[in-house]
Amino acid sequence: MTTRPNTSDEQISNVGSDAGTPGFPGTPGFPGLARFSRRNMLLAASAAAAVPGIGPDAIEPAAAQTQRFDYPSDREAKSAARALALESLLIEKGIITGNSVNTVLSFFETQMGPFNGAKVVARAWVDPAFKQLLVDDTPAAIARLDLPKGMAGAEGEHMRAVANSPAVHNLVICTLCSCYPWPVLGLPPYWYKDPTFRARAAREPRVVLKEFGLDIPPSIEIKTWDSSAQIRWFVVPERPTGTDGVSEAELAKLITAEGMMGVARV
Amino acid sequence: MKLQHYLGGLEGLGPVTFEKRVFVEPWEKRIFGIHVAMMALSSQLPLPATPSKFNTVWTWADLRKGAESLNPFDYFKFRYYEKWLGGISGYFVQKGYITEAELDARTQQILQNPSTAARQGGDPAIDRRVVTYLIEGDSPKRDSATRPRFAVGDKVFVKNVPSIEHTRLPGYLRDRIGTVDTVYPATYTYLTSTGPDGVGDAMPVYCVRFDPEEIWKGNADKNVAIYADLFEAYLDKPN
Repeated sequence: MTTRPNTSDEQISNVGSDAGTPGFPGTPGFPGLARFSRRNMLLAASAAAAVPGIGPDAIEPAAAQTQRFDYPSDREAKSAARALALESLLIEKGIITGNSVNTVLSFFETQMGPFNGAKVVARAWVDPAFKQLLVDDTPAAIARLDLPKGMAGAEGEHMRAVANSPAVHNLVICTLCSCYPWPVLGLPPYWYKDPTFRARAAREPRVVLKEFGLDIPPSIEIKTWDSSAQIRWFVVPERPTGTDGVSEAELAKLITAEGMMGVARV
Repeated sequence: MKLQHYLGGLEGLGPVTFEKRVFVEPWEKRIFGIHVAMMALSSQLPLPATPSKFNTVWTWADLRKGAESLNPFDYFKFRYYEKWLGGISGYFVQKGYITEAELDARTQQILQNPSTAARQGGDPAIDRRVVTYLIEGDSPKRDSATRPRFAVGDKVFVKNVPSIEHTRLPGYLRDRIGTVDTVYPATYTYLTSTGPDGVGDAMPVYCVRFDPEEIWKGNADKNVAIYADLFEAYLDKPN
């Protein structure tokens, strides 16, 4: 924190010297997100004065640090308005159409989603040869099924399936971003994108899975797949016991996105 | 060094959030849809031209660069799609498609009267291209005479390359030794050149297995193997 607050202004923006990325919160493009008022400064100063070891010289930087993690009460309203403002400007300027966003959303509701992956896994459960092919040559196996167009489309150009067994449990992560096999799983749920999950699952997957309610005994090897290049991974979970005689279509209904990422049992 | 490149293994974090929704606020869907449309209309794709005025390149690399260039405290402060909203609106301003002032003004207008946001119209060919992109994708696979330097079972040393703006090499693997598990057929480009970091042009890619006990000695879960897909530029023979 190198920028000292200018207390002659009621509101001061750009708390840090690093707040210059265009369009990001904390820049002039996000008025309000990283601002603090003189009143809040005084409150923070009096709080800091009560803490031993924090002298007057530390008051302003300490306040700035605290303010960095404050969220304004209108955070969501502002983001919502800004997203709509951006969309409406892009339509006006002929960059996208009034239907573009809904076209995308509808595609993920009907064409690309975990309902495809569930069918792939259900087939693997009832057909051992298909399961072997799915692991050996994932796109070839998927191409055999009657699924919507686009199973090698966006974010599924190079998919690879890994199968759980009594000895091995697989977990898919992406520590750098949020790579996810769209054609078979749709869009990544929030937990998958959460920096805490991404950070911890690399080093302590067994502990993280237990927090998710999945207890993998120490005798079972965990294989963690970090998606850092072209491959988009998914997991073929084990078929639940007691499902003998259940139809493929009924089996597909049991299969969740979480099961196909390795954070839940089916 | 960017903290964002070194997330894997970071300690001292709290419990994970098992939130299964994709979008936790309705507006997040809008920015996601805008992003996919930009990906589909991006000028480098070999798809039919449309009347869209979008004439620049937008790929995952651009979105990732935005998040990786954030102040790391902001990276943790803001939710996933808040980062997208910042990065994408910043891109449109930076490229001159819109101005910051008109975006601010429209935002204020919508805050005062949400019904003013609605806009209709546009050429359906634009949305046809969006769907075509989703169906066809954008494979980075390239046939090449390049022979892979490493074979299955080889030990490989992960270089600590100078990543500046953007990288596809997770920080926790740098300077570590792993074993090649898969040599992927053909070669693969990356969406953009990462400069001295070393990826961009088509090259072999490997799935490499690591022992977490060697990465985080005495501080990793037991009986675990961690695999990562790594471009050949990141790998070397161990000394």
